[in-house]
Amino acid sequence: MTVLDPSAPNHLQPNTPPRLQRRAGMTPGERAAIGARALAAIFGGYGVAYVWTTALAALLPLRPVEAVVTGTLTGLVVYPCAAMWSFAARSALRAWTGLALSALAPGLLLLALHGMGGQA
Amino acid sequence: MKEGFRQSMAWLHTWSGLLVGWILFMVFAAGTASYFRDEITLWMKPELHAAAGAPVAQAVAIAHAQQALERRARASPRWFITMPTERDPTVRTAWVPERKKEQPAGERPKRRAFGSAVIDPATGQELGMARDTRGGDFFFRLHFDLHYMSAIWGRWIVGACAMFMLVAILSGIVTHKRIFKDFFTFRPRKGQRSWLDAHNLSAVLALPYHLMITYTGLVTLMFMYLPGGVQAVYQDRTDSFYAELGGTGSAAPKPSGERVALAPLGPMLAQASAAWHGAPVGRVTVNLPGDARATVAVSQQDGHGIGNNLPVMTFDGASGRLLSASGDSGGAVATRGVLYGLHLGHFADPLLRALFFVSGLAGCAMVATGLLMWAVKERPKHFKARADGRIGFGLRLVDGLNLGAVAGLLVAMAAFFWANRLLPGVMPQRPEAEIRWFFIVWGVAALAALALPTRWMWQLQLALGGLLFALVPVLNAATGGVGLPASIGHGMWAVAGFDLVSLLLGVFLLACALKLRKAPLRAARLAGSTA
Repeated sequence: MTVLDPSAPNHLQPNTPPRLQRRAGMTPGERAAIGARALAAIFGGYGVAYVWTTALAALLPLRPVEAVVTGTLTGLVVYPCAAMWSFAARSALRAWTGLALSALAPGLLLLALHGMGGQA
Repeated sequence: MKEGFRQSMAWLHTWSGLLVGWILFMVFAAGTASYFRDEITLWMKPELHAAAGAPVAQAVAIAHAQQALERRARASPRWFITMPTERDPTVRTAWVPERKKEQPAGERPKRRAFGSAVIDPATGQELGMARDTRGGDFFFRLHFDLHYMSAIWGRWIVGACAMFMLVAILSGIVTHKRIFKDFFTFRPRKGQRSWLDAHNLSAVLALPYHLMITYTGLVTLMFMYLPGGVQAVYQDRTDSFYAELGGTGSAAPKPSGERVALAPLGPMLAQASAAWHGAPVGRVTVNLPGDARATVAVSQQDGHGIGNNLPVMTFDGASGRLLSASGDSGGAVATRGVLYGLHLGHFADPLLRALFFVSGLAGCAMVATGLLMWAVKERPKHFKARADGRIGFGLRLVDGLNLGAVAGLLVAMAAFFWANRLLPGVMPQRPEAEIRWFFIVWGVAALAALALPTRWMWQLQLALGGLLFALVPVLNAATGGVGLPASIGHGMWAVAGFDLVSLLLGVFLLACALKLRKAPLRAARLAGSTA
């Protein structure tokens, strides 16, 4: 029996993918990639959750208090999903791109709303 | 992408769990204890044990509370009365201190401490002689405010840990191939495999609970963590947002200056209780008692519905006439109320509460086994990499932190109860002194663990914690509390339950310590042989 026995039936995960392997000889590039993913998960994820929360609260056609609560409850689900995406994406760049794209629609809507509010 | 998804989620699961596991264990342990917050507080005030007898009618209790407040806080602008429950048999009263009239203009009035008194509902006697303690509130606050730092910082730290936890749970689920089989899988004495089974078992058995408690925990403070929605819609009127959220639209009345005696509170409580199909009253707030514009807000007792949005009825204080009743809230607000209520678990009857408690313990076990598994998994690599058999700094640090965060915390929690009984009954800043002992013991245990993170230290700390917990019933009987035979005999389950659960926990910890002693060689060989 070995620790990294891939045939072990109830083993959580025997094979760490090379891009996430934690070994002594990790290159600076690999370290930077993991760092970039962690930043994407923690700060990018928070940003996406924040934008979705705000946009839903401002735009949902409900009573204000209802819209705010719905938006915030949703934001709490968006955040962990964004964090998981940051580590599931094939590269750190794709992770960041995906986060940016998912924040695009609510972000633009918010900007539009802000612009209208400014003119009114 | 396809071949790597599970693996990258497993990696994420490992690291998001490990990095915050030590704080999470404390949050889970203190949060689990908070299910019995009232019972812990009662136990820590042995002077009140005798009052935990027969329940008293609400009409009698409120009349006594009103008399006491009219005696003690006649000129106060606001009273708060918390009615007795099955879990806390006393009437708790508090009042805002009288405002000084000669306040210089432009100077903000200093906030002064509320006055408070605990009253025996049956006799109206003030139970002033109970020792001062934070009781179960200490663990409740600790599990989201931390201590020795501002509550805001504590909440951000705990919130970040909870979000890591949510990520760890979700990524743990998608990594998992065989959820159902893991219900029934435990292979003991197989080194790392056993740890994995134990981790899976405690995680999968109570999975809905873990997911629920982590998400709802974030929900309780979500407007602080994600304030964007509130700010965008309400801008600087956040007060009115919270008023709409709580269903209490009315602000406090302005004083008229005309003195009119407050109507008896009993009939108002009876009217409210009847409107709620007999559900009892929990909290009573009297604004401007003795003024012509006095109002009385009566809210339902917790635990008669899952949601946290308790119905409120407002009465005119002078006439006793009903002014308003809180209406039905919308879908999202009600949903949040239910999520919030699920986290607190106040709705649960004793059996369901016990199930929540056991699930919370499973959560502690899940975090602890997860932390230990990281070390067990890492150790063989170190044996392989280093000829001298010494382990690297990272693993040593994790070993020490695991020991201090798991075993050390349990010793400290037990020590908190011992400090409650062994410190003098009356002393300055008694609550802080108890808390200081909790942190002194935890700090010493953690330092010892970091200095010597060995199997022997695990045995020592588990045995010490086990002994302290197992002897809690003896301590209780010896230091003024109602002992186990008498508390069971009189059906005082709040007091007896605390003693019994402590005894069970103590025996369990002692058994763990003993088990570590029995098979030291084989386990060491197994850990080594897996390399």
